[in-house]
Amino acid sequence: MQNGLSIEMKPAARATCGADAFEALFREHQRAVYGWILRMVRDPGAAEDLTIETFWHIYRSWSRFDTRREFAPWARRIATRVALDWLRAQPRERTEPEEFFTAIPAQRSGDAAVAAQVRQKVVRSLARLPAKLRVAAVLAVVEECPQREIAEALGVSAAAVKLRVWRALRILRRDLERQGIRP
Amino acid sequence: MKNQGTGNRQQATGTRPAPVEELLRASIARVDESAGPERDLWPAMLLRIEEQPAHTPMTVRAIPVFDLALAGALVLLAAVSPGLVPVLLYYL
Repeated sequence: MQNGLSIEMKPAARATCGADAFEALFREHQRAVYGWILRMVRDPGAAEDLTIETFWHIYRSWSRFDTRREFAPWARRIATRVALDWLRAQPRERTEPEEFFTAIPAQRSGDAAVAAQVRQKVVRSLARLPAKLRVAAVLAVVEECPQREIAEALGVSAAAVKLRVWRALRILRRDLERQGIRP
Repeated sequence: MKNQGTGNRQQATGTRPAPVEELLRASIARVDESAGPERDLWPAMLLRIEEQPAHTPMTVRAIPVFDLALAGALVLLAAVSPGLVPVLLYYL
């Protein structure tokens, strides 16, 4: 599995999504969907709620799913839309910097050489970015997800992802420079 | 082990990693690939399904602001210059 969601549906679940099949689908993939959402919202509690919301959308729109196509990109796209809606609804200053370092299961913590104060400023600057730029930057730069995967999840082209990351980094650089940090 | 993300990182910007990227990466923890919910979410999922059965009417989707602005501009144009209405209809 690379960067979270790698979903292959069992043939039985492909044919129909009755209560039993949906439970099997949910139990099999809740972890992957949760991980994908956590990468964007970086709040374990919210990620759990949004995982349920994502599967609710999947359950409701199951009839529109083309079963000849892969489930993973579809689920990622729904999860991304749900996460973006949630991020847009949050006050930008709400983010607690410590959540970014300690509250999530991390593959690697941040660099010890980077002072806590600098980290806080970076995280606050990131939190001030518009949701779509923030998500693109976090997925591409921090999580190092494949660009094609990000593009599919956001429903945009790979070029648009590049542009969003570039814009996010430019805004971040300017914001940090205003705070006396020269990256 | 080879760092899988290096290529993606460079792909994202089309150049070598910029200092701001390095700072971002050094400041923010990467989520563990094995990260999962702390509890079984299925009971909550069941509650969610029971709250709103699948056959409830679809909620009305919000109309994008751009579409509203475009419709408003067309109405305004038609009000100011009624002569343009046939031209607009022709192109629609």
